[in-house]
Amino acid sequence: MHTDAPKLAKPSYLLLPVLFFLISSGVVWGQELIELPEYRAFPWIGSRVAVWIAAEVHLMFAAFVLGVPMFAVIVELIGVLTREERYDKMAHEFTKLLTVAMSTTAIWGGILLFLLILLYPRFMNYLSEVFFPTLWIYPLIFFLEAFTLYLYYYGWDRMKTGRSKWFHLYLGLQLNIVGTILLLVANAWATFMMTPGGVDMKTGAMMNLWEVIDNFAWWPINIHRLIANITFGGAVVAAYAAFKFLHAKGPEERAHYDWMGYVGNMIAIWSFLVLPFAGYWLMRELYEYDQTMGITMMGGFLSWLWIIQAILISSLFLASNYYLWLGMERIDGGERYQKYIKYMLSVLILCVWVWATPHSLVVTPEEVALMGGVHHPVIGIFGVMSAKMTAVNFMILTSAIGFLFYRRANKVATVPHARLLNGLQASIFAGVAAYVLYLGVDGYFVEPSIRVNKYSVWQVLAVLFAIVSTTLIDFFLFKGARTIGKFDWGRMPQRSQYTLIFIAVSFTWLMGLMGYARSAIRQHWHVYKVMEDTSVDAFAPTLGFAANVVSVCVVIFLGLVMFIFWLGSLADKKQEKLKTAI
Amino acid sequence: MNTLKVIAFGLLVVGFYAFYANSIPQTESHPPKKISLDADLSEDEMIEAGERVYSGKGTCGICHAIGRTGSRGPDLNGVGLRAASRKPDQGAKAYLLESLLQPSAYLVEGYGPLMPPMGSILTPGEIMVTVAYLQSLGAQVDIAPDDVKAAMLVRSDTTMPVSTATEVQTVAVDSAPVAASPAPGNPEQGKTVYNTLCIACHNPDPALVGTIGPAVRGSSRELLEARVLRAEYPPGYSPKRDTKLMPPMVHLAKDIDHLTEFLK
Repeated sequence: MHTDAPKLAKPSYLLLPVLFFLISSGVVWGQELIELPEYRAFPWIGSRVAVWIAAEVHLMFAAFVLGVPMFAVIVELIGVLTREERYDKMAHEFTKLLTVAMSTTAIWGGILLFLLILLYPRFMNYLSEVFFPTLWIYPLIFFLEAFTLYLYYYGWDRMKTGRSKWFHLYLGLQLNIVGTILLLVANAWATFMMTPGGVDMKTGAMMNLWEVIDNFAWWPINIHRLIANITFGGAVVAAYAAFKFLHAKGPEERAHYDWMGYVGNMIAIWSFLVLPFAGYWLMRELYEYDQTMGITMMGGFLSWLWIIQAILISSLFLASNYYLWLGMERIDGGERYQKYIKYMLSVLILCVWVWATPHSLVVTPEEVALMGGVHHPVIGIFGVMSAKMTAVNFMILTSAIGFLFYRRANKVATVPHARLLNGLQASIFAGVAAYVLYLGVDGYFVEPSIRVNKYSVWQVLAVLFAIVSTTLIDFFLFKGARTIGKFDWGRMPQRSQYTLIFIAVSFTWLMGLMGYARSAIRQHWHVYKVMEDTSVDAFAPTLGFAANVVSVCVVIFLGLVMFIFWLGSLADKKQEKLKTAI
Repeated sequence: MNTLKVIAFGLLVVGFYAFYANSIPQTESHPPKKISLDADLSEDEMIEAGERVYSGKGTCGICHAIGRTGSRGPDLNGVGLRAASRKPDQGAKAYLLESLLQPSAYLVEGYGPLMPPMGSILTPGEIMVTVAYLQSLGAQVDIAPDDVKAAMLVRSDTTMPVSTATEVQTVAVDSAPVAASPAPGNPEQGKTVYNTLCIACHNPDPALVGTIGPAVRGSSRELLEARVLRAEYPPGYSPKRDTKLMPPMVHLAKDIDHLTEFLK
């Protein structure tokens, strides 16, 4: 039985049901005793920024807590099926991070709730009226989540073998199911504010609870967040491994954390590749709900946000490819593929350049003066959707090729027709690249509806086809392949670990930025077109200001994560001392 | 030492993104100012109110520019003058009203049907002052303050027909259910209406799903009457989409039979 788990959790999650009781009974704001003020002011930074920081940090921890169990259970299952202890050890280590993160999530949730009740009493009163039944369900599910997590973690060693291991895996599954339900409930609150349904749009009176929950943006956000949580969890776990790698005392420890960082990063990157499709669906739904909302987001005051996003995602692509290239240094035989790196880097940089080119932005006169015109006279042509979609797909293709090189770094194919299969893979990549490019160019000459509804989809499908088919061919091609070198886990330069940290910081920042976009799209509404924001903060700040707040949130989150890592290392030291004493 | 390096590196990355986001053009988005149309407005005040709607609640500036091309919508410089000669059977006021309420009825060459009908976004009074502002861009304003006041009498959730402001008052009255006419509709006429208005959201082929609206092939007269004229559904009808985008178009009352025939 482990004794190294933190003891911070219980007081914080006990807080939630108490709070909900207070809200629902009206005690907190004494709704029957005194008249509610519209708003209260938070000193110095203002109410909005206070709530913004609390909500964002809470969401970052929540994403981590919900994302990590998904792959922790899968890794544990792989360990059971392959009977390799290292998988079990890694899954256990993932879960150790969760225990402290869980309590921190609850603490920030409590802070957020207090701030909302105190600073936005009228709004919270309305929201609790509409969502009254879910407010009772939520803390109960939260209890179940916490209970399952601690049972899952503390029971690890006791349920290590035989049938009890399968029960332990079931606990992991239950943890994920309960966590997902928690996500769905909380998402209903957030999405109702964006795309309200089930209420009278004039009076705000609740008409149908299910329609309130199942509003327009609910499922798109549910799917988007589920995937994003995996990405985020993978990236933070990889950063944790990098941190441990940099502090490792011996080759064995370094090898373990090198491997853990690699797995975490792979989980983050592969799930990340699916996210744009979920984002596309979300945007379509928002357009469908309210065209003005969609136009505001893509072409209104938020349009520059997508250029910042392009810089972030481009950086992520560059960094993840760089990590992969560095990873080939740990493989004997990997040097055979290093000559291709310069070409892949050239393609990636060209794509970054295209993606980050502003063109179809709606600009103010001041912005026109800054840019020297509405469109850039030379590179403006690359700023349209057709070019950007092509650039993104080329980046994905290039990353997939890099990953194939990585996989075959220490292998030589021995199957008959190896040259043919290699040629087939090359032809598929070349053919798909040409097709994507053709659609990208032709996209300039067709109606927007064709470009958006057909060409974009075809490009994505072609790229997916290339990835799936070449991976399948790879499976046959390298069946029984001759190994010409070993995988030397731990033989990685320090800069590779900083790359993992860079990826985690970038993902966290990106998440903060997208959180801002989701909230800012409501503009001066608490609940879009139902409850107006009449506070002094009823305006969308500049992107620079938003970026500063996002940066503060990221620093707080990462600071706390480092604190958690430190706590974890204290427990490790204690364990080591115990082992030495025995 | 490694811990400090990690912290410094993390701060550097965060700092880079913050710096980049601060180095691009910065804009704050303020809520539209509340416009009071209760008072007797002078022509100048009407135009000023219209300009505020244009750049505020109407968010027209997102797609239209004044004095430069290249945006999603046409350049509105001089639109007041052009409006009078766009369609032979329409004056400037009627054309501008139509452009706001049924933006796809007439598309300027080179531009697609992107604009949402503003009747579901602006009140009738706000639409009238916007028309006054647009007229002021190159021509004389022929909307009188009384037109604005008359428009304000119309229920704010009712879409105005393409008509002058004084006719607007009749809209609320006309929005009562339409009795089924004994003669069947003309499918060709229904097709014209459909291709003029409905394809802004529905697919040009009614059997297919559109960019915003669902497939509508086979819609019953009862459904069309409820949906088109009152933006409602018949009792017991289960909607294909819970959308609130489609505004009531009471001026299509006489076309319901034609649409029904066309969509059969």
